[in-house]
Formats: sequence, C-alpha cells, structure tokens
Amino acid sequence: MTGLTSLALHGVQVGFAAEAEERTVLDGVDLSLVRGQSLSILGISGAGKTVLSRLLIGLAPAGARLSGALVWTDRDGEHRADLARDLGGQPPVLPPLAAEWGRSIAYVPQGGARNLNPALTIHAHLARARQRAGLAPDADTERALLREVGLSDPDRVWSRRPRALSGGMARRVLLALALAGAPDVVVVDEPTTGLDSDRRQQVIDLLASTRAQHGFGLLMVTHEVGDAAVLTEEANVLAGGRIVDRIPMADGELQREPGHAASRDLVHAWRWLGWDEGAEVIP
Amino acid sequence: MIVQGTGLRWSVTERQRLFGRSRTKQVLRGVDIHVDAGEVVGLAGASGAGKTTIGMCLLRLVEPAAGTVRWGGQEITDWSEGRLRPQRRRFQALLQPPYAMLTPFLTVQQHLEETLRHLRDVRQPGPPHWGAVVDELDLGAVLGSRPSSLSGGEARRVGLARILLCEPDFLFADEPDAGLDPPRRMALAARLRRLAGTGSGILVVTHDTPTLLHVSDRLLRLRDGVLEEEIG
Repeated sequence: MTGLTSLALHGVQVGFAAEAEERTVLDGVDLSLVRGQSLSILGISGAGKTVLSRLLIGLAPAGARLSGALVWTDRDGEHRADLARDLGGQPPVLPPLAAEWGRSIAYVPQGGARNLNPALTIHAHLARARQRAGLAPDADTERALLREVGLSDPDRVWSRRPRALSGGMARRVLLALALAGAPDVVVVDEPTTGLDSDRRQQVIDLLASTRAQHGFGLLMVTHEVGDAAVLTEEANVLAGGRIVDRIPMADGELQREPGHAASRDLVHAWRWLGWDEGAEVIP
Repeated sequence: MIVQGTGLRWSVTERQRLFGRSRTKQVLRGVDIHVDAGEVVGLAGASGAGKTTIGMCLLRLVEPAAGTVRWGGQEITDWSEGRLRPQRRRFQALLQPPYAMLTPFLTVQQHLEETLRHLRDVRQPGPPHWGAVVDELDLGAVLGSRPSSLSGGEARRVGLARILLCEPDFLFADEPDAGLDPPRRMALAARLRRLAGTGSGILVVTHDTPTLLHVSDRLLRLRDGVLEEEIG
C-alpha cells in the first residue's frame, strides 16, 4: 500500500469528435478528494458523471480529446499527470495510477454480474483481488469480507460463478472485491440505480457500515439526492460539463439550499418524489 | 370502464434440470381488475409477482388460462388477432425493456412517421403532426438516430411519443420510470397525469412507490396471486 492521501483533478476538459461537430462532455472541472472524506457527484443522466469518476482513477474514455491534470499525493509526495500527454493516446489508462487499482484505489462499477468474469468462481475473484493488492489468499479473511458485505452464508456463493448470483448478490460481491485490498479511496458508480426502495436502502446501509469500519475516502456517482445526503459530506453538482454547485450535506439533509438551476431541479424532484407536501410539479 | 379483467388466472410450469421434476407455479389466482376513463391505477407488488402478466392479459398479449377480458364494455376474450387489430391503436402498452418497442434499422423520425402512416390507414381525417410531441418529449436532437445510439431514457421517450400520437383510450405502462433520474421521473409522472386528464385510462406498474403514489388515483397490490386495494 502506498498510502494515498489525496486525489485531485484540475481544469479537466473532455470532448468527443461526433459526426460533424465536437461534443464537449467536461468543460473545466476541478475536483479533489482527501483521504477519509466522502463526496458525491450529482447530476442527471448524460451529465458526464461516469466519465469524471473514471478519470479520477486514471481511466479515460476511448477516443476522447483530453486536457487538464490529475494530481495525487501519497507517502512519496505529490505526483502529477498531464491528461493530454499521458492519457491522450493509447492505452487509455494512466500507468502509475493503474498500478494502484485494487490496493489504494478501488472502483465499483455500475450494474451487477456483467462486471465479473463469467468463468471464475467468487472465491477465485476474491483471491485474485487480494493477489493484485499484494496479499496472499486467505480463505478466512475472504469469508469474513463476504459476511461483511451482507452475504451471511459465504459458503453459498464461495464456489459459484457469477451467473448463479442474483443482481443484489453480484453487487455485494463487487463491493467485497473493491474492499479486498483495504483501499484508501473507493469510487462507486450509481450503486442504487434500478433498485426498488428496499434494496436501495440495503445498499446505502451497506456502504455506510463498511465505510464506518474501514474509513476509506468515498466518491459516489449518483442522481439520487437522498443517497448523496446520507452517505456524503458534499455533493458536487455536474451540469453542462461543469461543477455548478457544491452543496454541503449531513445526516440525510442538505445544509444549504441549492444555488443553481440544475441542482434546484434535482433537489426539487427528490423532494417531490419523496412525497414532500411543499413541492409542486414543474410542468 | 375502459378495460376490465375478471377472474384472470395464469400459471407457469418450470422444469428443474433437463429431465427433472416439473413444478407449476400459480402466478395469478383469480385477479379482478378494472380501469376507468380518466383514471390512473397503480399496480405494486414484489418482483416476479405477476404484475406485468396482468397488463399483458388485459391487452390480450398473453392468454390467461381462465377469466374474461373486456374492452370498453365488450367482451373480447375470444376475439381473433385479426378482429383485435383495428382496436389495438386505442389499447397501448409502454413495455419495460425500452429497446423492445423499436425497430433497429429505423431512425426516430421514421418510427414516428411509421406510426402516423398506420394511423392514417385506420383513422380519418389526418392525425396531428408529430412536431408537438417531439418538442414535448425533447426528441428533436435525436430524430436522425437509430435505436442503437439512443440512451435507455431516450428510447423510452420514443416509445412514449408513438403512444401519445395514437391518443390511446387505455395505456399499460410497465415500470416506465425504471432507471430515469429524478427530474425525468417527475416529468414522466406529470405527463401520465396529463394523458389521464384527456380521458385515457392508465395502468402503471412501478417499483418506486413514491412515483406510484403521485401518479395514481387508486393503488392495487398484487400479493400471492390476488389483488388487494390499498387505502391512500
């Protein structure tokens, strides 16, 4: 472990060459995450949330035009990567940060079993995740980890393959894999999208409890204001390629009213859908 | 009453392993349901409970094992597909997988034109132009796109645009808000309300109960194969 203490993006621009014109996805974004902190990136579908969160772990979308810098500090001091130079061509992965995947940085992608290797058992997935982090396979620790993510009977999934898991179980396994290397920072992409309200609550509780136990820095991508308010200290609202609002949050509540039209829309819809008496439909 | 189902039964037989024992699961055990004009009825229930099957039975897209289906007071349980076809414009479904309702090689504009061409055959005089629907559902930027380059939300909006062009008497909307962000979920709920305001009856299935509460006049819950009315 290298002891990652901070991770930041400076002036990030991302564009794609569409048929005729160029489409700008991110247009000058600054974002920084300190170890132990929890942030969310909030925005509607298509706002560029996923692109931004993946850049933070050093992964660029294929065929994109990039500029800006990624800066991180660890025990050896500060490191800086120029995105245009270091990520512009192939491969679209920042080599020094990629080496940290699974040990100081972990990523929980969107969706369930399709992110797992269909040929490997859950046990083999966990052993590989530990190996990547420089740890020897250890069945007891791995079983304990599965219990921690809410799979109370680890032997039920131990020698199964991903297709035998339900959607919820696959999500839990993905979180266990992310935690296997005791990371400093965990990036989670839309953990609750497409789940019903009970399952959504389970995922939120699970992220809260594992974070309380391991103390990793959390960056969560979501369009659910309520989830962001429960799990993170600050929501960074992404709209039109920029972070237009930073709303402090605590205990499931906003600490300040949204100051931008895009964040007002999100917050308003959240209150309305939450059956808040005061909220009226925006036609 | 726009649509009514009485005593609907449906079961599914599953075989465990190739030569294993087969097991029959009673999904619907006598479901009575009706939707009135101008009314939104919410349908809740656990996943796999058979919510989609109820809507499909009411549209005669799934054949119930027993029970009767009425459209506008007329029993249509035994009608042939040929006899149903002219009526289908008025009884529509917004299905759950958003791409399932679209043709891969047609652009969004061609989809809308196709719908209008079909309407012209069935109905005189000419239907409204699709411009208003395109503006309302914010589809102007994707008119030239094919389904493969649409997002899930866009594909669903194209499906909804075609349905709105048909001005249906009845709409079965199966989890229309799945995967949408909150502002779009709210806009969809408001749109379904408006459609009901023009006299359509709507049956909407969703797993997000707050959306369901906002939209519906009545809320039904499917439990152990029968419907219960929720007080709300």
